[in-house]
Amino acid sequence: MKTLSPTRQALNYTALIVVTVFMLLPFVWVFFGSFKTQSEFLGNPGAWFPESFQIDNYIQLFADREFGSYMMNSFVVSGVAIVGNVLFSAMAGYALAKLRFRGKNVVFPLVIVSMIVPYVALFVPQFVVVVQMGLVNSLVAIILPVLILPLCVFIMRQFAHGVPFELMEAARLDGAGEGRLFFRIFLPLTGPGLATVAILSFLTSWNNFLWPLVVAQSQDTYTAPVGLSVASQASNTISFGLLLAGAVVVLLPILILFLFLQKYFIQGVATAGLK
Amino acid sequence: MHTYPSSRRRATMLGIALVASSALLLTGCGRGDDAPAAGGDSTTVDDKPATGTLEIWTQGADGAELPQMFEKFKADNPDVEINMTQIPEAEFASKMTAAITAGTVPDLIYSFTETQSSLIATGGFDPVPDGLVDKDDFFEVIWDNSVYDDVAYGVPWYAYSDMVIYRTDLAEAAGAEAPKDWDGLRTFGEKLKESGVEYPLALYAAYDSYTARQLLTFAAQNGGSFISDDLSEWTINSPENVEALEYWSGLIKDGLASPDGPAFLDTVSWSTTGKNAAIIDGGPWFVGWFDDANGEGWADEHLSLSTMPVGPEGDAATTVGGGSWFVPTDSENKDAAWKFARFMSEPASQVEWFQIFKNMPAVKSAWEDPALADDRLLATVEAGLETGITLPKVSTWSQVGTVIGEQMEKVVRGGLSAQDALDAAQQQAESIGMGN
Repeated sequence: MKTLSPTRQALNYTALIVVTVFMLLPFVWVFFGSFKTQSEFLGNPGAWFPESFQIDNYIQLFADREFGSYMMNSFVVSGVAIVGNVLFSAMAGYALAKLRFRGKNVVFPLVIVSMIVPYVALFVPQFVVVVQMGLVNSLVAIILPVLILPLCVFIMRQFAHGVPFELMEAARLDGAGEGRLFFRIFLPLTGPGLATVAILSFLTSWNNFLWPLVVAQSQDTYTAPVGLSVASQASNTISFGLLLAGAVVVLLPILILFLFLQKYFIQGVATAGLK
Repeated sequence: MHTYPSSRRRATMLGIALVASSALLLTGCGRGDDAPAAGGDSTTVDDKPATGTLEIWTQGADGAELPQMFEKFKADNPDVEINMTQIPEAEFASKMTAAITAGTVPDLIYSFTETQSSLIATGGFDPVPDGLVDKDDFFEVIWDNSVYDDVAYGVPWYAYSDMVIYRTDLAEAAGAEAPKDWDGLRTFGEKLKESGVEYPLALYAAYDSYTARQLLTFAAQNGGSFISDDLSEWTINSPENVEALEYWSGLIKDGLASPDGPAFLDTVSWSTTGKNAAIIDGGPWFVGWFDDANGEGWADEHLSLSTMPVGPEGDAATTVGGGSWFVPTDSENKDAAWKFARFMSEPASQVEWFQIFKNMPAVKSAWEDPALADDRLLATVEAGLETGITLPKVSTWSQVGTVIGEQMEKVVRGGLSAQDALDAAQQQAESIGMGN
């Protein structure tokens, strides 16, 4: 591998630091803004730092509103989405890469096509199906569309190709059935792919706004983004501090999950397209 | 000037509206074909106490305080149970459309003036029952806002009008008087500019449907309108409207107003620091915001209020807003819903709600209550309500308004003439249609 000169390296690092700082600036403003009062926003909206760090916005977020239950709904939806995607996309990926069955060459292109179709076009049939099933205003309705994401199937199918056929054949010769092959051989070897799927499915379901907004018809079934939109409303304006405090709270689970799984995630994204 | 949903929210709203409309067509379970109901085949509502469960969907901050009114309603209607759900304001109309599609509507909603057209166009709402309220009790402009094909669908709840809010101290220092007409507004701006105020007039220049609404107000002051009286065709490029755009854009081109703001959050700070001296077409809540930002009493000390200037021929027009109550056709407890709407429009309830939330009554007689009668802010709002104008009452207004806003930007930034800009807007509006 070619080694960069110290000057070139310094330039690269400087450029990366500058870009990183620019990308982080909005988050920094959001974080400090969550400690500001409404009058600070109205008086000097461009200020970076609060006059005094007060946590009233956070207290109000959880005390006066039902934000805690919205967060819980989001955790349930996202938790089930992770489990569903990890399990089902791994199964689909395994089947598409390692099994022979009629129509296999049609199924995978269909998965790819479903990734290309704009979300709005998918939204309509999804909504009609949920209405016909009588699932409107339930967490099940919110979860269903994110239970198995085409992108996750694609990622796991790519990872499955990296699992050697020889290993699988050896296990088969030793008498392992498909279930044992899948759980004991396949899954442990696709860890980075599963981590990527977990993060992507969490991000998708956690950030989803449009679908839960339309499907959830009472506050009992609101998720955090929808609830945050309600909680931030105040007299003829937006309660900015409350909104930013909510944004920070909503951001935290994503940050924590990414910090724990980033090694696998980067590995997974970097290698998914190479198989 | 108003609070404006972000472009992301508007995009979301548009997306949901598209989705909901498509779903409505696909499922065939909506009532798009017969909407809005013609002829006013309304029922009557008796004076017996309401019973059963009443599901109310609310939006905006009003919903958080509304339960205080529930208690008063339940005092006279002990057998009614009220369930309330708060919906994010920016997505309310779209969500309601989806609910109509799914047939899972609440019993009662309120809608702000901006979204009434698109909601009523779904055909999912009942006409106001005969004799429920007397339309003459309300300000005409807020009543008319929910009248389609001579059928009233909404019971007005509250109303406000916009105004000129200006810095008294800066105006005095510049020797400028409150603007009474178009010439006066320009003179006011020029004098303050000479005295050192960078951008004397704060116009809303974000170039969207709200900007178009501001132009509509100026156009009406000039005898113009964006739509024909029978709502059958767009009249965006009429000579009166072109003149209004030339006047409005001239204020910006001559440096009396900035095309770059104040956009939203910085409105109060621009006026507080003297970068602006007057908010033109500003909502009444701005006065309270100045106190919030600068301390109690700041507004009284520094601000004066005035109704919107009249046009060259003396025509007055003011932007108005507010909210009205609507009962979905699929409501399961229409009786209780209309009774609650009637209760909220009673003068005593109107005053009570003003005291709780500071929303101003839609019922004229409520303004005579001592709680409202002597307030200088309210006097200006009340005067504006008498000259208020409604938005074009077609479901495509939001789309067309955005097109007009985009063309307005080309005039102040791109050097396009007002005539060419409105010709282009007219052409696009005609291709969008009226939504019927």
